[in-house]
Amino acid sequence: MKEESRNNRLVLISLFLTLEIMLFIAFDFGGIGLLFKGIAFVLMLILLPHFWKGMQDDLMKGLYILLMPLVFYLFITLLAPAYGTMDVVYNNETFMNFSLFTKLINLVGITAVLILGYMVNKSGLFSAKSVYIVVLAGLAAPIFISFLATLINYGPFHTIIYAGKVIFYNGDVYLVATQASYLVGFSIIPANINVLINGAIILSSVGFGLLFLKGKQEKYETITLAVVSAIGLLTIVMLGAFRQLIYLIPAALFVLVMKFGLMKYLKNKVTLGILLGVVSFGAIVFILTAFNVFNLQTIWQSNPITRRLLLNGYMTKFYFIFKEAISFKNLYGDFRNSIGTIDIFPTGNFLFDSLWIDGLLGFLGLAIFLTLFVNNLIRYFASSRDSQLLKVSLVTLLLTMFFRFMLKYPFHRFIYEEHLSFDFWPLINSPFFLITVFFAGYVFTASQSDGGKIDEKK
Amino acid sequence: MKKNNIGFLFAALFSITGCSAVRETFDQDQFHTNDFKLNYYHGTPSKYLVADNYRETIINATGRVTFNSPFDNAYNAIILSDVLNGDIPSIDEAIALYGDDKVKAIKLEDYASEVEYVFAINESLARPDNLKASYFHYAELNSMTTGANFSETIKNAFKQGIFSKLTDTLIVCDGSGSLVRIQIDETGMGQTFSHELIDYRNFVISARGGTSIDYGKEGIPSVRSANVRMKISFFIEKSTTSEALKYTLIYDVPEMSSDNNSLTTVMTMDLTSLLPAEALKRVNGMTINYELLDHDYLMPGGVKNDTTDYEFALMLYEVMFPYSVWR
Repeated sequence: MKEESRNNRLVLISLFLTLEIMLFIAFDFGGIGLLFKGIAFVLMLILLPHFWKGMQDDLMKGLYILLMPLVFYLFITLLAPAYGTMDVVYNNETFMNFSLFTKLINLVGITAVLILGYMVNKSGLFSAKSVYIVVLAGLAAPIFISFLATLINYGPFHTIIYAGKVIFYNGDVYLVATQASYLVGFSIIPANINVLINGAIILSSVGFGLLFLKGKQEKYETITLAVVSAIGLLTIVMLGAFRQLIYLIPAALFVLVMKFGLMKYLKNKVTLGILLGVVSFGAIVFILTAFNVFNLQTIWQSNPITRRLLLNGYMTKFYFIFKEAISFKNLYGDFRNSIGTIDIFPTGNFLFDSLWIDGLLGFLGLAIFLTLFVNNLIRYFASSRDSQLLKVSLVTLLLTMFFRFMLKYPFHRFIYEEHLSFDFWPLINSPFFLITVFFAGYVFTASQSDGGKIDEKK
Repeated sequence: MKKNNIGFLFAALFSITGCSAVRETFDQDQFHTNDFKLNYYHGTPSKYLVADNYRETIINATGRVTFNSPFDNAYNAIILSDVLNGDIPSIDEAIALYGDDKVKAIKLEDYASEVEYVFAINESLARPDNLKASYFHYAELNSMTTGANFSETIKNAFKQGIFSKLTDTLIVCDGSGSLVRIQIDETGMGQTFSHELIDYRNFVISARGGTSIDYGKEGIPSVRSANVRMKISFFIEKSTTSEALKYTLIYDVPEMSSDNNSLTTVMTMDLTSLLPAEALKRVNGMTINYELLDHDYLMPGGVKNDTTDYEFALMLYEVMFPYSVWR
């Protein structure tokens, strides 16, 4: 009895610490993120015996399937050369200098984050409200601090006021409008403005959830979403980055569809057929252009619209990376930043970044994991009794994150040369990815029974 | 009330703006055009331009400044001074910093006495082919942004602004052309530092002449050097115990490298021997000016060639106060 009580107390403390760790992971403490992944692994080991019985069923019902591609992806990061070291590094190569220990902690830590997400939901100890508030607060805090620092260092609307202006730092010249101050660990570092805008846009998107507000019973959720969203919007406005609001369109469309019950009109074979048709057509054009079948690249080149659409800086990189991967020339990652005169990496797209530095195998692991997560998320959205307000906010946050990082994933976040030695932001270090992994575990239980929850009164 | 709150929020946000990162901005590509005449930098704090603001002391330093190429060995010219003054605490440290493999191969046990050993080390460190002791490498270790004795605050201060082109360790062009230098005409340039110089010894400035002359078009041989008179002023602000002071060093550079494959002339001087003791204590600004005395095409025999529009400019690359102390 005494033993059981002690165990339960340990479980309670560990689960509480799990939320704390998620707060710190979301906060992104720069170089010490690894420590939190390590702690997440230890917490998982402590909690595993308690949840093991209930977890065994879920493992068989799909948790294994969800875990396997993630573990496989993380395993590939152990082997992929770009994560490792090289004696002599040139400007056209990426070596992130992760030690084997660091890579192992990433493997076990990120896996633990998913399992902890599962356990937090399964425990029933925390309401969805608490989990969301903690994660959103963690994401919002560094953006807010960075926003204030940017305001102090550059003034309001600096992208407009200083358009076309440069400053000098350590003898080099930098465009003012491309800079912002960003909190990294305990330092404020001049960063690419897109890093701050990314966070601001993603935070702004959660405000859409407020359209689903029902009465006054959801006071804390409302305040949290309003504050977090306001931080994001205020940041965008004061940066003068109004055009970036375009990235909120997918989330806005989703909210409109949900709010006005349009899903029932869209959920039919015709819509599905059109969607599949468009995606298939896009994929075929992409593949044919990548391999230059029918001399398509020359044809696209001849027209200004197709040239801009299909042969822009992004697409040129994508074609090359895709060809290398699909030809099995890049199975578990490359480290070159350029091939000849063509810049390849970073691409600005998190999926193609992964396809390049993790290779075809790593990318497949990641893509399968994300697909399974989306599948789980849809089931969670449809069946969970969690507040609609929060569920919509989660989806808008993830949607915005996905679309933003399809074009603006900042593998390098800083601008000054002196920061280059540690300026790597692979997916496995991104708090946004870690939050996604956490929610992958959290939403998994949605389609499962409530068995296995510990007694909330305890 | 709500409107007031929002207004207050915005007022609060505006009130915290300091714009410290954008105190000194320039147009993109300013000073970096293909037009020689558009690349001059004229930034000098206005207070330095008013003659009566500072009581000036002029020192003629001609003949007391050493001139070198960036790839010359700097051992006897400056490193030895750093060793003798204790800035480099031991000969072992000097070997570690500036010794190539040949220097490091010299062992104490191979010599009858330590004196002979030190002599051999000094001789080897000063070898012309010891590139580890070249001015180029010396600047990498002792620029205002890398010097081992400078705190991070001082290094960061000298990384800010266009003046950082003169503190970034590059004493010679690295192929980036106008991006790594400051081009000045005879009106010169100046800079106020955010810290005060407290202790100092040597001062190094690297520069070269540059002209807009199209030698091919004119059908004349390239002029590889010019006679230039340098004027470097250091400024001390008024305090309760002292009036505002200005010390100006003037010296001639008979063969300033000019249009010579971007090769610079590195000028080294011992400020403690040129000026009264502690004269430059509390210096927090400087100006750099020059006067073209002789150039085979633009000013032959010291007389300006009025038949041409071609121009002469001074290209500044680096200034250093090695092992100085700032507060």
